[in-house]
Amino acid sequence: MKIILDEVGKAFNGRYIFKKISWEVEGFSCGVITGPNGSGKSTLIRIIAGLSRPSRGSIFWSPSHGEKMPPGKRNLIGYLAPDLKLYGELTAIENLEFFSSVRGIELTSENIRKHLEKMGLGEAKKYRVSEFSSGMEQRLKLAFATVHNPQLLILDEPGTNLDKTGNDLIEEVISEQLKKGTVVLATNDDREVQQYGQNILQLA
Amino acid sequence: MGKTSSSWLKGFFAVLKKDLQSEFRTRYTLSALFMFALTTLVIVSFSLGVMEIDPGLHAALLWIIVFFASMAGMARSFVKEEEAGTRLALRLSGRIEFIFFGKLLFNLLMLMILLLVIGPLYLIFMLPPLESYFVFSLVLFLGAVGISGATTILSALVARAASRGTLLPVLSFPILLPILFTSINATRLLFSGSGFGGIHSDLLFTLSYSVIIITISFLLFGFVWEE
Repeated sequence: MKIILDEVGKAFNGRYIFKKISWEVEGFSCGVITGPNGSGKSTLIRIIAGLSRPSRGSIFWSPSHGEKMPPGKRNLIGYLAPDLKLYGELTAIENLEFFSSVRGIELTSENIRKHLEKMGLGEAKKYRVSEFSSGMEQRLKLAFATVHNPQLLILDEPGTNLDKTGNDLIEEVISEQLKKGTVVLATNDDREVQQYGQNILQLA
Repeated sequence: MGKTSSSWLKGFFAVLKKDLQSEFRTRYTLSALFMFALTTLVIVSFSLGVMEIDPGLHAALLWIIVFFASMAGMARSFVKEEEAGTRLALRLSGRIEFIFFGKLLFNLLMLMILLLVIGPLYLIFMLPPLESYFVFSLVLFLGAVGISGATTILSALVARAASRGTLLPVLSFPILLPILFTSINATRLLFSGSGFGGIHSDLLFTLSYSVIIITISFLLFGFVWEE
């Protein structure tokens, strides 16, 4: 999936966080958004995910076009961000089963179990999410973002709360995603910017 | 067509199942519903129990308890998504029709559980004259359908507001007024000795109004949920 931002701006209460951003991310490539706190990385990520409208300019998702992604098209997107929360009173398996059902995707319990094991949650899959550590929760969010094989994977500070093996897992997920689709990564981690930063959008 | 309707049903029941699982593990909604309803019923029964009460007053008291108890509990279905921060994940994944009808049926089930307890308790404590328990149940059921239909979209609307607790009854009252009037009237007639024949026009009105409210709510739900 290709993403085109055409002079996109976002204002809150009349004050622009960013203005006139034009940027393209080609299919099968990784675009990196970086910038200091408050520069609007997460806001732009939400616009790219179709969760928020730009105050000015347009965003196009190719082959699907349109300023606001229709809710039905969101199955094409995998999204991981700090403000994303899953159901604490449900287990990891119940969470992924629920989200697959409401996405209208047929996934067997076996597929979900294997996916959780790949995310390093094999032992914890039957525990309620409220009992998870913050690192385990981040791994589950990664599982939520990738379980439906999205065309576009959007990651906002994916390394948050993760240890070395967790960060290795992020690398593995990104390199797998680049074989089948697109990645947009928002990060302040210099290592990640250098590693994936062939197409960098620097916000002021 | 078959696959579409089966996936529709799966998505819709997935939301209902998730809300029920969540409810029976946390008991947010049922606690809110029952705390208010039981407290009010006990106060009413202690203060008026020994008096001879007019059927109209009986009907009004019963529906006041149901209305305010449902206002205390119904908002929870969307408020808890907002408070737990899970709204974003649901918005990213769930189709609008699955979410609306899943939440609607969940609210209706919660209200039915409340009425299954409060209805008989009211009859036991307050002893209103009643001949047809079946028609009384039908009046309560149709009233619950109307209340759930209107409060589902309104609770989604108020879930993001700071004063969500007080907003829901204020917004719901004008919309639910026709249902409350007809339900109170039907209940009054039942407590005065009427049977199904005497209240069928009220039941028909409640049913029609509920269908209209649910249809309009569904059509508007996308705007409330997405914006």
